[in-house]
Amino acid sequence: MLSIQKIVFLLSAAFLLQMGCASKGFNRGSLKEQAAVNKPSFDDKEIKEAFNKKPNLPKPFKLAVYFKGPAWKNGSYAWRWTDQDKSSLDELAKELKDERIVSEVFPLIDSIVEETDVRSLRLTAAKHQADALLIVSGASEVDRYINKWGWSYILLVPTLFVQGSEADAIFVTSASLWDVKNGYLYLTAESEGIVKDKYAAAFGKSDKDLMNESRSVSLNNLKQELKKMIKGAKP
Amino acid sequence: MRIILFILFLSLTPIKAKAMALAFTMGYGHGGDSLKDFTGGDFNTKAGSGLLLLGGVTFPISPTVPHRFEAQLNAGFLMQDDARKEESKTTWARWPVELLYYYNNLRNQYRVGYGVTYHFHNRLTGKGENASVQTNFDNAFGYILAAEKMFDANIGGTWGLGLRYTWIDYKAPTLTRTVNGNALIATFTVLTDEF
Repeated sequence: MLSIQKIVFLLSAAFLLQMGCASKGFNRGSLKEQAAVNKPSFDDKEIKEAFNKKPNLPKPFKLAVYFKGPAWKNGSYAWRWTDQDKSSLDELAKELKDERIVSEVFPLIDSIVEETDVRSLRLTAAKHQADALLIVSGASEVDRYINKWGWSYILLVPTLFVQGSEADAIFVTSASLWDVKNGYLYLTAESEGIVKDKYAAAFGKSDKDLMNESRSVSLNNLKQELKKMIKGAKP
Repeated sequence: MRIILFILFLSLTPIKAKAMALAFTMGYGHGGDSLKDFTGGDFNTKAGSGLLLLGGVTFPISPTVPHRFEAQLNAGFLMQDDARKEESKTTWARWPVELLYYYNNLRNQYRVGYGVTYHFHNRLTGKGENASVQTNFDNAFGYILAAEKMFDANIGGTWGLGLRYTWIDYKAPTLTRTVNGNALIATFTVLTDEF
């Protein structure tokens, strides 16, 4: 029969043999796919039609903004756009109004949106007499891993105070500005927000908290990006 | 010390209780002292032997990938019959409640863990010529060391084949000596997807 000392030695050896506890990284391809609002089309006719579309915005134009939420997964939403997120573009809207690039900016609220593909959203925006539609979407992922101190968790008690766990959260925000009448795509912008957390296993932030923080960073970056691009693409 | 350890385990359990999975374990164990050496009678049952059936929940303590740490709370039944002669059948039954702490390697799909177990209503009963062996043992506290190789289940969740060793001693007011109930148990475990 094995003695306790021998068993402990064998277990320790097994742990040491497969040490290596780096982050697995993010799958940005998958995140961008989740944040996309339009599936790519490979139909020649559609490509030609898209190519023939011309910019058609009046000056100033009425802008509708829609925040597209995440897909329903495992019985819940991983995150959601908050009122604070939605109002974070207010400052940009005010600036664009002051420069007489836009005359009015208003949100498309979820209760009046039936489908969230571009065509359906353009129709909803048209009902509001908007000239252009800005669709903001996002995707997020949290990667949790242990650092070298995390191996102390084998003893259980260190999960209360040893900062052996790390979490990296990424939020990818993407925005696209469409002509409501003809579907012309004026611009697309994308930004990332990354938040890192180091914590004792028992007290880590939840995925939702990390996603909220990274979303806030990402939206802030997007705002700057959009400001540059809309001014560059002004009619 | 044992009680402090048990309370510490229990105090940690709700931490990540949001992502629980159900766990079902079936196993068969062998080992320990022969009970007839203590109680007399004509039967052949070892104190650690028996069919193990457990149900419980598992929840992450550190939901990290690929090195995850998780706790598992189980409760169930452990029983060994000696029914070579139906008229003098003996039954050795226990109700274990256990709390295990696992290191779960999600990349290589195995988990090893340790924990504590508490056996309630430990009763040896017999009939016929073995009626005199009837003994009510005290509740007993023990330790567990466990290892499992896990596999993905096609319908979701995982299943595993494992071995565990339990260290436990049983005492009874009617016995002068402690009965060694240590056992090596082969297990089959099913874990559902987290919810």
